[in-house]
Amino acid sequence: MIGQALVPLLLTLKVAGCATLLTLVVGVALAFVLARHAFWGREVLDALCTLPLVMPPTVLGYYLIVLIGRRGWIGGWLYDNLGVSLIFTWQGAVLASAVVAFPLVFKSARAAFEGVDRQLEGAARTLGASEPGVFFRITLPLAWRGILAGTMLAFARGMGEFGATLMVAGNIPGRTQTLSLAVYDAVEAGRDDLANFLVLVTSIVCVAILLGSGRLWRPRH
Amino acid sequence: MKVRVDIRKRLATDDREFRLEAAFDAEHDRIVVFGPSGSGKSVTLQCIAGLLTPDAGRIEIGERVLFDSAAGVNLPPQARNVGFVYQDYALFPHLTVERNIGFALQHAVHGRLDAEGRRRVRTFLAVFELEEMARNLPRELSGGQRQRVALARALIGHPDLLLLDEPLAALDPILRERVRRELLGVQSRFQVPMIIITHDPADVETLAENLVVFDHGHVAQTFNLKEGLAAGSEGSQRERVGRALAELYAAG
Repeated sequence: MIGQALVPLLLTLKVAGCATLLTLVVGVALAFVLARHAFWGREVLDALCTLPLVMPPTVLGYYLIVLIGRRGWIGGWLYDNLGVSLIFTWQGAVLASAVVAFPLVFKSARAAFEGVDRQLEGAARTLGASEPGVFFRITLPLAWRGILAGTMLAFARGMGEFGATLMVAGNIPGRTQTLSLAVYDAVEAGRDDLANFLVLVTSIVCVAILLGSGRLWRPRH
Repeated sequence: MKVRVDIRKRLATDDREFRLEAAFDAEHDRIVVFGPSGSGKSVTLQCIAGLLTPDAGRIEIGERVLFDSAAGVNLPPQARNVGFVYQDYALFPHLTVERNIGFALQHAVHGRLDAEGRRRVRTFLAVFELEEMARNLPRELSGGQRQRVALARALIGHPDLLLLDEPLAALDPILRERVRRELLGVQSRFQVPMIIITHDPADVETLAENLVVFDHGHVAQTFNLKEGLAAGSEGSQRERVGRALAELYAAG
């Protein structure tokens, strides 16, 4: 039974980990641009980035299929030029999880950047720090706790992803079957002992993550 | 050092508009900018530091042109070599006192100071009586200590000009007189020209060699107090300054 739980657990950690890394890089970059530059359509872009938070995951999954399926805009190009398809692969599951978890990183990163006193950045500039220097020595260190808290939530959300992953990557045991999909299968098959065990493992990991991110939210300075 | 400022800037929020048209020349090392709050002093200082960009005009310190809209010159703050001390000091809250002071000497993101840099930070810690606080964070310091950290941090990179935005306003009155004298000491020790914003007449009395009086976004009057004293016309000069300040208070 442990073996039957271990494969989906490891796959889940891999998918959620990669998805979190992806949202972290893209989410922090986008949040920084939106927090520091006023431009036309900024709040529209913010709303678009937050949309995955309120949309049903199956709808998001459908959008993703439209985009990255073999006949999709991006998927078609990928298939014609590189011969790869993301549908029914664990990389596809990463993409699905990343999209669903994205708003959690993006929103907390934007709030964290907006909470950094602009005077401190100005002071760093008058002291000769280059723009990347200002970002890496002042802005990011002062915002990282908020960003990290959002990142941990994104990881937890990625771990529990079901709907979008099912649409994009399917439910192939050993290849794309993550914990939440395995739970569904176990219940469907009437294997209550396996379902109980999988649920317990998932719960422990999620509670641990929430406790960790709760500690980070407390202000320090 | 000669400082020439002639700038225009319009600042607008949803319900308010402010127009700054400030022009003054000053040649002494202690230039006091005096005026009621909202008269454009702070905006002018930020334009000199490069933290705000004027709509038009020219800023020159010594032989260097920092900003000239006609010639398309606008040096970034990093290239101006102008120190800036904020009213509430803007110390980096996540860095210790010694890392705050050494900030301008460290250029790599995660680099460490070289031996020369560390020696220089130690010297500054000693000069500003901060040795015992070297490893403390800014929030653990008193108001006077914070101000000394801000001064040390701004001076360590040899700025051509030091700008101080109401450096004494955040201090209690008892401390203020002491820090005023410390500022004089710092100025003569480092031989750095200063522009000091204040709305406290006592600062004018102690610190000003050049006095620039702001009112409603304009330079209302300028005084050369150093030459005034030298020429033996101290009495009349003082009277004129006193009158100008009194008028401002009556109007404000």
